[in-house]
Amino acid sequence: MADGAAMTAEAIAADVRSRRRSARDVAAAALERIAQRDRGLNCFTLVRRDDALSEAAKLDARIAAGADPGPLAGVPFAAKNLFDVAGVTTVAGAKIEAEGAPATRDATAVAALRRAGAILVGVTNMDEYAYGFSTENTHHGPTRNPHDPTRIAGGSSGGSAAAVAAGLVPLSLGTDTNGSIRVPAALCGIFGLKPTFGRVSRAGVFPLASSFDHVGPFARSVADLALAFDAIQGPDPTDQVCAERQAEPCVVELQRGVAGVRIAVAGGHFSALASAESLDAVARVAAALDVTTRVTLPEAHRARAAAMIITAVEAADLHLSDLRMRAKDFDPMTRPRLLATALVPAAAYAHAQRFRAWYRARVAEIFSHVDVLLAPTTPYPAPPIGAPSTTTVDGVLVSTRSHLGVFTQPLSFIGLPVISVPVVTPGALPLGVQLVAAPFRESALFRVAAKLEADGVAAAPVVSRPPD
Amino acid sequence: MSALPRVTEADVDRLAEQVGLRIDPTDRPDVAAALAVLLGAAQLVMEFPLPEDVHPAPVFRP
Repeated sequence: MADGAAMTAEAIAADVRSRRRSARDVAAAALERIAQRDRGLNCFTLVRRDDALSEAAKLDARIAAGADPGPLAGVPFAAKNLFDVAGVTTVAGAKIEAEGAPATRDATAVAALRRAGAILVGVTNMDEYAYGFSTENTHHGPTRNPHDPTRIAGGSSGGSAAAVAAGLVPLSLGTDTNGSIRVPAALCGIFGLKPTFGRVSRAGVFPLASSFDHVGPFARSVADLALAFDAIQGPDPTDQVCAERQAEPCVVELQRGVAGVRIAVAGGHFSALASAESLDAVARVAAALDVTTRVTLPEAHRARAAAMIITAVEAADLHLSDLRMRAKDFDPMTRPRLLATALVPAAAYAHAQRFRAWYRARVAEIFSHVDVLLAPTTPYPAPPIGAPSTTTVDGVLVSTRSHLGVFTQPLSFIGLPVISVPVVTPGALPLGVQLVAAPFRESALFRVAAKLEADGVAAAPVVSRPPD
Repeated sequence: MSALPRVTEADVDRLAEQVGLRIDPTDRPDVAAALAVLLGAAQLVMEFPLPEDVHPAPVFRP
């Protein structure tokens, strides 16, 4: 169907549930879009063509028999290739992991979406072992930004974000340790949710740094983001850090408006070393919400540094054995950085974990009088693929790729829930603005995101540009 | 971040040996650059004084 690429998950599920369209036809259309466009974008590392069609046909049969197919009936989705999918090898962007046997069961989040009726059409490209912000994967090739195929999609969940932005699928799953959902969401111009740490199970997900690893969805509408989040949130005893707190559905929050929600702009660290466009995106969102209050998160720059140390040391713990035995099999884009992680002094890790406790308490004080903070997602729009390693921002030389996480890392560091909303200027590359709340207050984020979408301030129109 | 610490290729070799890593000579300059970034971050974290009663964030539940 001509309009298939732009359909929301909500609309697809309504059609499939009411039998206006079959799940098989929806899956076939998504697979056709992938066949047409993904050679140019390189979002997918594996497409489950036969399995997806077969599973969709089974769903149609269940609907015909009168069964409830779930709130995401027939919705095609993709998952970053570090989620276990039964029958698929969990490659995690790495040549080393490609040698492994296929997973025998789905990751909890993948299983949850499938239980809700969604159809997994494939798994997506990423930075090797999720240790990067660009998805310039040497083994699989770079994922290209649908808004400009000469530019990166962001990372590490770049394939999942670009697939949604291009309209190949309406929903996808990613992971975010330091910004790996929010950065590609912003650079590809879509919505991305990094839930509260522990809100969504990581069982069956290849880890990067357990202290910060989060699972979350991408979508082109706030309602779709909420549908996906509601399907995957909640306790899971098979993930040791998953919270025991019961799920708190957010779809019901979307019509509540923002009356009574106290909103402020994050200043200080979050207003420096960024392009004028990134700061202007925050200003536009703040103006639309009539926000004039500014607050400062103390020592946010140090929080980012501590996040870097904890991530490095936990990544070293996971990969040291392979780095000793077969370093040459790592992606050259990640190998030097992963080798360096093994050389960090131990006391810095312990101090960073103590600093984390201190910083969490200071930020909690701010959330006693503010409900939602606004901050830029990235300091600039998508850099070109293969860009030089350094760039100048505000007159300061920074690392082109790692600086992409300058505003996301101080927030995931203490597990705060964040939605990155897309702010698009006609003729310009997209940017994102982070909506940030206190732990387990995703409901406030969804209320603000829905308001911004309703007012046309945040939007994620499907990118229909053909591949060059 | 403030000026990064200076890390030489010899520093990389010395530290790598302590953890049983052998780093290919062609990788050493990039590893040194990456390590300088991490040691700069470590310095920023370590120089921040914390009260003794602030404990690490992870909680072990027996």
